[in-house]
Amino acid sequence: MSWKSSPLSFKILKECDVSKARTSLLALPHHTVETPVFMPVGTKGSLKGLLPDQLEAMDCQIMLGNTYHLGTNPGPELLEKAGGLHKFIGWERALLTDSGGFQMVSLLKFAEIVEEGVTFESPYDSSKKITLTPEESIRIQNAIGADIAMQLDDVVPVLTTGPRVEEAMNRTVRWLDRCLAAHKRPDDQNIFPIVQGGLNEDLRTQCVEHLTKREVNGFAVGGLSGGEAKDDFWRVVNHCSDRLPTDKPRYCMGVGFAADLVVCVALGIDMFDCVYPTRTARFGCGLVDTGQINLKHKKYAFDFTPIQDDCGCSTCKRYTKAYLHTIVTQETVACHLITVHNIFYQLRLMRNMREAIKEQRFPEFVKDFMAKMFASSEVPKWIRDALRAVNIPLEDTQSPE
Amino acid sequence: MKFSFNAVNGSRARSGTLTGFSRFPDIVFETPLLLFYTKGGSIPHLTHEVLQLLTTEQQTVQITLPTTYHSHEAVKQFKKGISSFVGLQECLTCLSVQDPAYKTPVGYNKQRNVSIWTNQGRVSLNSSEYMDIVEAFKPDFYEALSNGDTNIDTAKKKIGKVVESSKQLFDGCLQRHCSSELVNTSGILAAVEGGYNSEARKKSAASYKNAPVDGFVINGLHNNGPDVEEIDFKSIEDVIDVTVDNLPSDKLRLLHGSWTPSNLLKLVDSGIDAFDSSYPYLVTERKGALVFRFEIVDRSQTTEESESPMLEINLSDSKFKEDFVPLVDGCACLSCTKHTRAYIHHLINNRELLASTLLMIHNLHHYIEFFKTIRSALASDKRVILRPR
Repeated sequence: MSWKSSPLSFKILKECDVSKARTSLLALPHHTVETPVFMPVGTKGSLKGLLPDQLEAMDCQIMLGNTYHLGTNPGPELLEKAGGLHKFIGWERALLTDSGGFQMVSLLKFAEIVEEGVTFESPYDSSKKITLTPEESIRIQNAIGADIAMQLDDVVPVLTTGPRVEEAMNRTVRWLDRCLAAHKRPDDQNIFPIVQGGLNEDLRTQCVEHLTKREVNGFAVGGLSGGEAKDDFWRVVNHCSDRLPTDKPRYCMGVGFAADLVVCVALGIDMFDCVYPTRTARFGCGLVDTGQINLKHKKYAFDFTPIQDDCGCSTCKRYTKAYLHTIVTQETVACHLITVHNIFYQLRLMRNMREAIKEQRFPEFVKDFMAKMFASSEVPKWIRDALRAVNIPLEDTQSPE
Repeated sequence: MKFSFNAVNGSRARSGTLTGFSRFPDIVFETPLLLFYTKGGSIPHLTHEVLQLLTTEQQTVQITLPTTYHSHEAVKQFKKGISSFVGLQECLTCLSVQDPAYKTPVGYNKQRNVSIWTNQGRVSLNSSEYMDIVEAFKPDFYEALSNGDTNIDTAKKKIGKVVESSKQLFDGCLQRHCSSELVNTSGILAAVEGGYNSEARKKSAASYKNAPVDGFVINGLHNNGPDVEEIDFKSIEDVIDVTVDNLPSDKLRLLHGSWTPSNLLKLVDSGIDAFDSSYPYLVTERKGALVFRFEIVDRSQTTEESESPMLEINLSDSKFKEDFVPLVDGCACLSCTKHTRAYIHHLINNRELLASTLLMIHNLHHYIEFFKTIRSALASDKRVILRPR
């Protein structure tokens, strides 16, 4: 039905002359996504109270759904009857689903990983063991029908050391093959493999070597953002992006703090997802260039300015901090308003980065961004180290001109 | 604020207009008027951005004091009034003393003090304290502070006290109203009390004779909340008639509460001009979607209307699990044109906030259309009936 032979085409528009940053067009069956891109998380088929119309109005291009939740409720059979998740939730643009494995391991008490898959106690009958196999994950993800599905991977806590890390890396490769073999919709869905290997650079290298031998359209860097030192985090990201093919998109899972996004884009990452902007909104926190502010704080009771002055979102154009302060955590409207702002903040940050890359002023963008974000404190060492590794030394900005 | 009306032939119902608001000098608001119920200054679950997807027509909102009281210091310092403070500056704003969607506890008012129940607990206000808030809020029109603490069971002696109390509170408010440069261009409504006692109703109405008011709130029939849906129209018919008959015909009559659609139609026929939207809100809170059908018929037409029409469906019912159709077939609202019962059921099952947003969009849309149909029927001396589904 489509002229495209592949459900994904990736066209790099511009590469930064200095760092590894690049801006690209990622053409997917439902939408052509501009990267670097942040993907907000709509766990159970809705993005925390926002209408698809609102997301489109702020030019959200791709959203994430969670296979564990959607596979449990409403379940793959119902999603198939509905004609897939896009139709079920009324979202016409691109979708990505995770494999469900990570959530099982983190949400379910008795999840255990064996060669067959992830086994766990049924939440409905504790005497029953259920196994999420790579095949089952793909079956559910085929029913959901997202533009990008993720392979089931063997996730170990990032601080694990020893043979378990290597086992997980090798098993992840074996499970990728099972996922690809089980894939029923290769013409309209992509499966991305996930680079594992913990904080061990050799294992990461081996994993990339295995994965790149398979026929896949993009790659994810997984197993990070789990409490590791930031210094380890950026080195693994940098290590992987150096070894992944340049002509395919790279997705760093679970990254969403603004400073982390900027660093990872400089390190050559194209796609991100995180629950942080929506979760923090539910607690009454709005994202700003200096970090985040908690609207419950008394100091906003008489502050008649928007969450962020130069923000163009529908919340900041109309509502003040003082008003939000009166309804925050009381009325759902407050949650909606802050969520809109936070998603807009992330999308705008990514758009600004794309424009800066296109105009070959990404290093200046990074320096300005860090100067604002760390106006009242020193830029963390890991950020300076990471950026120096891609030729954006921050010290320059501090020397007088 | 100016009210003018045309009587509808063969009925007490009127078809009218409200004009002359200083913020909206050129805009005509038609009655029977629907005030959008708000909590904390926002329509529940709907941001301004979403409201724009629901309707771009000029609307009226009801600011409920119990849910906004805690913001009055900020609104005062803000200086531009509550409508701008809550981001609904394009809407006409009416301030009500109580919250029609939640039951007002009985027995906490005094002769010169009225209790409101805020999110920080009970607050007791006298007319001077109340007018301080009115001056900060600067509503386009507002109710004078009133007692209202009566219902069908209230004894005659207490009714008499409430009648006197509301008159005294009104006098206090009016005095301040007339001398206040901040609100003397706003409309002011007096509360007619009297419980279910005809003599007390007459006495209360008569006590406002010649008072410079812009309209009346018919108070003291109930204590707000979902119980209002249970009221049998027969129990209020006589007291509504005697109240309306004793009020000047050229003033607006407002009646709060979550009335069922069939009672609302009867209240319109009894000569009530304005209502709030607490009913569609309460339906939303119980995960319901309004599905009642209505149509315009000639007044002479004797078609028996459905005695017990189906009013709403409950989307938490598992029978909607695989129901991939809109809430109401043919409904033009965003929820019905883009989403299905099955999706809303899924959202409810997963406690997703979007369920309430989609239901509120539909229910408010349904109710706005209901009011439009009522106004259009009255304009041509016709009436609206509910049809069975």
